[in-house]
Amino acid sequence: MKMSKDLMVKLYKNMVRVRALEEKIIECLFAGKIATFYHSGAGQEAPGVALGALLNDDDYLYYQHRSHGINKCVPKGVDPKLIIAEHFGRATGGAGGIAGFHYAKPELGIFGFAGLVAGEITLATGAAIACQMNGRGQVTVSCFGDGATGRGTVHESMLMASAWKLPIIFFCENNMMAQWTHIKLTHPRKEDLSEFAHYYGMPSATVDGQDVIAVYEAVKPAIERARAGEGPSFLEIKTLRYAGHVEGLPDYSVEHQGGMRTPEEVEEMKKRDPIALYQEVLLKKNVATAEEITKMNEEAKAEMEEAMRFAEGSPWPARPDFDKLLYAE
Amino acid sequence: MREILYNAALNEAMHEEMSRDDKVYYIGEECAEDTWGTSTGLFEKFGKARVKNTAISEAAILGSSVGAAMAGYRPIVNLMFADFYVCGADEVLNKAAKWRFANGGKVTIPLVVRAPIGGYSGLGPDHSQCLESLFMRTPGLKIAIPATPYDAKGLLKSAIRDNNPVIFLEHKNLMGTTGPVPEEEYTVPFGVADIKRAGTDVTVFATGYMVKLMLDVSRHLQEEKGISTEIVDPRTLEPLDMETVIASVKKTKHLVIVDEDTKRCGVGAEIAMQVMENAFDYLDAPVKRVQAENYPIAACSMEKYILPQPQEMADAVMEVLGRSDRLDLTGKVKTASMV
Repeated sequence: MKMSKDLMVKLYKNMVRVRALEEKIIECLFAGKIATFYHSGAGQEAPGVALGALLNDDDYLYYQHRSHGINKCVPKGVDPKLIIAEHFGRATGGAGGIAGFHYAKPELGIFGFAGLVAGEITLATGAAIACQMNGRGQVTVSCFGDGATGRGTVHESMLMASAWKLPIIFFCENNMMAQWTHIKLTHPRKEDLSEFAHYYGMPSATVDGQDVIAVYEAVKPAIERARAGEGPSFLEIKTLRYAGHVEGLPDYSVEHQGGMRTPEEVEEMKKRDPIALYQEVLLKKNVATAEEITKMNEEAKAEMEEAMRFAEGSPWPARPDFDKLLYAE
Repeated sequence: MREILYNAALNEAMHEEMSRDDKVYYIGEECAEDTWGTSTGLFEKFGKARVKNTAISEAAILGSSVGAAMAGYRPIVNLMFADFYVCGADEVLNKAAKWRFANGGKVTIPLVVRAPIGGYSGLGPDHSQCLESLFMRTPGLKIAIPATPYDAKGLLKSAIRDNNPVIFLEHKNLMGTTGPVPEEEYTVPFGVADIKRAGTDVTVFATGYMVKLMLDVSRHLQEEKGISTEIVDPRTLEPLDMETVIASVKKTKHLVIVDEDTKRCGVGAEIAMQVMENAFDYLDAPVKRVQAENYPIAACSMEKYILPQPQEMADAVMEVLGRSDRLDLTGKVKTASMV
């Protein structure tokens, strides 16, 4: 697939922006500046970045808990300041400080995510119903992990989407770990999760999620198919999670339960780091020089440093009119 | 004024609101020809795009409706039986009810969940429940519970126009009852109670099918014992018009609460407590509750041991008034139960 230099650079910038924002949030968490939790998505920056580059402002995106959607919402256009300020619980956050790790940006088709894994997939299916009824070629992407496929909501949604040819992409980021439990213990067939799609009669693909170009190339036809009214697709993006389930707790998947993954395996994963792999592509294809790459890395860090200062300098929320938050006029 | 059936009133509300606003659509299992006769002509008029018959997938039905509501539509879900909501409980309690609040008020969820409630049909523990106390303790939901065809139509139209999730508790045993319904356009506002029977001796708080039974019981109390009951039907439990309830209690000095849902932690407990907090000094006797006993609802003839019975309603009224005589209702007020 031919890609413009601008697009290739944008993908890189977004990957390093995503990682820099996550690292900044984790730094603030351990510095005691953040009073909510964080689920690191380090190692799986590529899928959401590729996705973000293919969505329009009026397409709907339902993110999930891993990386608190940073890896998808920042590429779709959400200002990192809103995200970090929400984690700081400040009035300037994406939900006014009431949600902590959730935030909504309705103007960009983003409506938060569910505290219960796989909880937002049915909502995404409803957004796809709206897209279909609007008839303007909008699409919805429902993001979830391998763990979510254990819940009925995924399957009810896929059945409904398939029966009604809804314009939705089921975007499954398979990092093989559901919290601290390896998929091999819960999915006995041990085959690709994209196999689920066959039963629901929708096209599917299994993609290397460490390769941002490969993800981009797989998502593009699925989105085009949905925009053309041809129905849903299922994409399994095989990716890697470096961290434990949640920051601040040991990675039980390494240290306990018989060691579902060894520390060596986790270190091995980092050799397939999506940012490092993509740097090689950019250099090899003469899209960017080493100096330009370093500059982009520094710009991303500076942007997130500034976003943190914005959050720290923002006011705490006053007690709002809770009735107005609870019920609309 | 013409008289029409309760289910026909619901059907009229659906036709009128779906014609009025093309963002309204109807979704559910068998909703193209629903079990309670409320969907007549909808599929023919609005087609499959707006009358969406689904697989048996309550979580997807409820969750997709929340998602479509946030994206600008006004779905009306029909659950067929209120009991079935449990298969989409997360979608109702965590999504519909909380999503606006949890996202800082940035979204609106105009959604109606029509949930046919109630016993007296011998259908057993998972096709007979009312569940209003469960929804009532969940901030973020509105709850309508119409007792007459007039209220059914007017409240459903208000529910569809409301910008919030509304749990619409329509009673299965009221579907075949008739009542006056104007041909002209009207709505019934939320949060405004209706005095279904004016009286002076005892206030009876009643909702849904209990209003119908209590009207029959009240007639006998008046005719045979000279007791004048005032039946206050709140029509919506959230928002709840306690002002009208309190005003009535201050007038009659006595309160009986009749509610079909389970007694423990039920609607009656909440109403009684609010009366304690706001009108205790006006009461001449302790409040009495007539509600379903704290058991699952039994099937066939055994449901009568658990669901509120007209005789218990009459006894409760006599007791709060300190009367030692009894009104025997044997054979006089029948529930819908066949045995």
